[in-house]
Amino acid sequence: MATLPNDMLTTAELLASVKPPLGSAALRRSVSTAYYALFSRLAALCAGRIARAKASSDSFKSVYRAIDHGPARNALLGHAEFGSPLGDSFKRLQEARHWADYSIDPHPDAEIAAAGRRFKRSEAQRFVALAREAIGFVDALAPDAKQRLAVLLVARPRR
Amino acid sequence: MTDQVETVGELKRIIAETLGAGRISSMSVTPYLDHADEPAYSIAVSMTAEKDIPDARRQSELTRKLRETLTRLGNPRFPYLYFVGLDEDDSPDDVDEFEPWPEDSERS
Repeated sequence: MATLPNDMLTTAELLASVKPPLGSAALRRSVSTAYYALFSRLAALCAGRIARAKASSDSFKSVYRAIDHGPARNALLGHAEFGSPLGDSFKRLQEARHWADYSIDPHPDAEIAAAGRRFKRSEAQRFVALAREAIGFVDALAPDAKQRLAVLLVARPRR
Repeated sequence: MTDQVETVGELKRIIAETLGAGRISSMSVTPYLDHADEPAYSIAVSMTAEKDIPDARRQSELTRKLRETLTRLGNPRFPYLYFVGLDEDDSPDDVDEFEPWPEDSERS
């Protein structure tokens, strides 16, 4: 049971419910936290399947930190088994998280932003739901599929 | 350019067919480079009613359909979907959060 990702999802939901005047900043933190909940779930899966040691061990921590954002995205997207829905959701959440953390535009979509519309609470809630769906997908995988996913995320392709 | 126009038309056709054309108020498909400098489309879909915005699972299915179509057309762009409901409360969830600090632009 990986509790940290689930707690992060709960935190993301909580942030999506924060009212003005802190609402806008909280919605950004909600989206970012939703992405990191999924990322943390994948990291925990890798560590659990590959290190096969207690979470407090150095080997668990080393594998937990082995997964990188860009390579993980690319590995998932091109994969027949995990490209959809997991890879698609990971990429969508990563893009939204990048907007939330780094952009000063009022919305991740340029057309919506240009129309003067801001990122809404309901949109943050939908990204949190997307992360929850993706984590549920990972949780429901059979053990051998979890093993394949962990290796996919950690192994580097030979050049 | 013609390829791009035809591709955007195909994406819009799939979205309308999947969600129901009568439930959609407008769509925009904007080519851009995403945060990783990878080619993408930002797709904004305005639904007439917020209740018709697809849930996470249906959004994932639609993303898969669009991505498979783009792959089939030899187009490497990824379809990022964003939904708004025209009947959603349009009051901002906050004021503008990026007001410049006046002292930052003071001349020395």
